Amino acid sequence: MMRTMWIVLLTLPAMWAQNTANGKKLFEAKACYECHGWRGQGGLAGARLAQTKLTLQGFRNVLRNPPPSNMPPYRAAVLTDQEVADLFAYIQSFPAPEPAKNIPLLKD
Amino acid sequence: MADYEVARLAKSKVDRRRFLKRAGAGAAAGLAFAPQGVAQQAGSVEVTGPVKPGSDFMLDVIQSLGIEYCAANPGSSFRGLHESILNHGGNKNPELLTCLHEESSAAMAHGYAKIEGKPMMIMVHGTVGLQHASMAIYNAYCDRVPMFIIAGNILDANYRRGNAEWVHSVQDVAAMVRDYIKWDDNPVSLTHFAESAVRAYKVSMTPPYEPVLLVADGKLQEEPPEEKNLRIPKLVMTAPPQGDTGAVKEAARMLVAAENPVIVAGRVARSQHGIELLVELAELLQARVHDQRLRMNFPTSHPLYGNPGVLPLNPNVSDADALLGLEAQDLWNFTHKMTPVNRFGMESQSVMKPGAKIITVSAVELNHKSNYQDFGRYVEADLAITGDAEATLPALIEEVKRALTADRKRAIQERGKKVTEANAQALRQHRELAAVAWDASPISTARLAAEIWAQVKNEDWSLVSWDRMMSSWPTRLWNFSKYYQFIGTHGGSGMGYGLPAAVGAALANKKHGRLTINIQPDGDLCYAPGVLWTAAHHQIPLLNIMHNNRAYHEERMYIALLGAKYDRSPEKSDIGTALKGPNIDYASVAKGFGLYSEGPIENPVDLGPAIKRAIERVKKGEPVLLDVVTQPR
Ligand SMILES: Cc1ncc(C[n+]2csc(CCOP(=O)(O)OP(=O)(O)O)c2C)c(N)n1
Repeated sequence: MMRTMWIVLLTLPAMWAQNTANGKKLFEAKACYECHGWRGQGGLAGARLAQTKLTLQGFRNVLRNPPPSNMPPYRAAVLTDQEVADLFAYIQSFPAPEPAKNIPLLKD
Repeated sequence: MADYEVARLAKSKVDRRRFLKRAGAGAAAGLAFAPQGVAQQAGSVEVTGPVKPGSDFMLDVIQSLGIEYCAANPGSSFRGLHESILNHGGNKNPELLTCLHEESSAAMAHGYAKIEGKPMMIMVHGTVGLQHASMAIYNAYCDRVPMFIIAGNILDANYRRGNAEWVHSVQDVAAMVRDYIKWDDNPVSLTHFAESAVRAYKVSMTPPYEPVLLVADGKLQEEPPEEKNLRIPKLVMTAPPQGDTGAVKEAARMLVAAENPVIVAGRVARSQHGIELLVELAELLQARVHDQRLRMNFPTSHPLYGNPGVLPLNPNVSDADALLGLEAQDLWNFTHKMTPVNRFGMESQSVMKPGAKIITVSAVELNHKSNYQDFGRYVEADLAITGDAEATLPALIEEVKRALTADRKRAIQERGKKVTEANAQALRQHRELAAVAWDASPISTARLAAEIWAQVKNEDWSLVSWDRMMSSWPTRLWNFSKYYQFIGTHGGSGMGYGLPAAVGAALANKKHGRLTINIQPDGDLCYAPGVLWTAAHHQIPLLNIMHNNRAYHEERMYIALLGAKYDRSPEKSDIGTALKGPNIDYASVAKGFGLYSEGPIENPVDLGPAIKRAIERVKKGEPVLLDVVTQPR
């Protein structure tokens, strides 16, 4: 268990370097930012993606068959499985936000 | 009225001399009727005596109504009234506001009325001016806002001097907007004008408030009065329509008996008193209130405020066993679920509990029209009360008090606690969500809202723009409690409302010394930006802070969505929707119109100090504009 985790952690940065760059391009080209924001922060138009708790598999499922909403289905003709993985890598790279209590303007 | 009498006598002398001269000229030329040239010569007969134009009397009538401002883009069809406002009225009550587009005039009146609670006058030039103003009039109509529209026209074909007057004249001026105004008239005498003006004002100010239109005929304006004993009828305002006593009693019984009553508030409060009444009703019933934010109906920090769930858009009312819609807009959409855009076809189903009761109170049902569909889908209410909500609330409150037994009071307290807890939790959640992308550039809409709030919260502020386009962050993070702190939206979703309505609202706020804030989307600004100059020219203090996402973003999302739905990549959704290449330099645009401006501001760290500088200028009485480049939503 520990061993696999180490391997994953060591190989992740290399995979990400490649995938996140393409994911970033896709995030714009496939219009993800339009509803979810450039940092995946979400809003009234789309759910928050930053710090998603979804797995890659879960993410792909939502993309292919989103719940009833304004979110269009992104089928393979629009995003291949590889592209979905790249996108997922990019979304996972969004920095974790400060807790609101550490931001003076969001305190009271 | 002696002046009018003198004018009438002078006019009859002139007419007699003109007639004699014309007859002489005609006879000399051997014609039964004088040719035009002679007639024109005849028209140059000198006028003697203290003659006044009919438009002076028209203005006296308008002044009797207590109208403060008249917004207009100049046009010869109302030049008589224009001149009278300046020289007979001393440019006071109403004071003329120079507008660069008739749509701006009407939208300014729209924003003004929502703060001041009474109509502004606008003047539009015959056919073309009214055509320009029409979308903004439609917005006001859908938003149940009073407006006093004067349209210039020349009805008498014999009185039109040339082509311009023919193409600007029309047989039935109001026809083009009649579907979305409440009343209009085409007076053929000054007595008629006086009576119809007073009636128009009264009709406009009887709930549901709506725009009204009166034609000011060119001949009536420009000729001395012919009528004797001109007088201005007394204005007596109508008491607003109140719901039927028996029905109100029944509504109270249903609400008190319910285990979980929920209130949906559309355009309820016209005043602070209206907010207080709604608070009283909600507290008596311990019912949560979903404020549609079409007016400032309910304090956002109240424990019973049901809107922390601005996500999703349509709040969940499926737990209600009694739903009270007060001047609610499209209530059907609260009670039903429809096939969403990412599915095909259309099915709808009720989300209400079986047996749940729907009660509606609204004055809008008194004024339904056919052609435009602003009435929304038919609501199958169990009890529908026709009456103005604010006027009906006192009686409803009394009936609820009467129906509340000690037992019911105990049971009710429990449900109130649940709403309060949900509220506190939602607020914490909003703050955590606002922290995401806090440092992002383009600047997040949550950061924009938080930075503005930090600078204005200790002022007497008034936010006069809608906030849905920025994920409702002000609604989620600010503390709204006064009726002028939020004025809802365009009504008819006609873009281009935002900027001029903000200028009109700021004008109304000016005499109260309030700090007016307009968070301004870029697309909306571009329809008719000239109103910035109007704000500068008339020294209307207004803090414009742009939510510049460099797009008609709402539409861009639709294009992407429809493409993907049909397996087409949304890559091209920028075409026809993005406002970039080149970027529009709004700070320069504003500067060109005479405003202090800064931007584009792209780094969130720069925002706070810029807002501070801008507020200093606004406090000195100026409009300012900060161009802030933002996240899409
Ligand atoms: C007169 C008019 N034209 C077009 C539309 C369609 N429309 C709805 S939202 C929108 C975009 C407005 O852009 P902006 O004000 O910048 O707001 P954003 O959606 O970018 O936040 C448009 C064009 C409309 N509602 N009214």
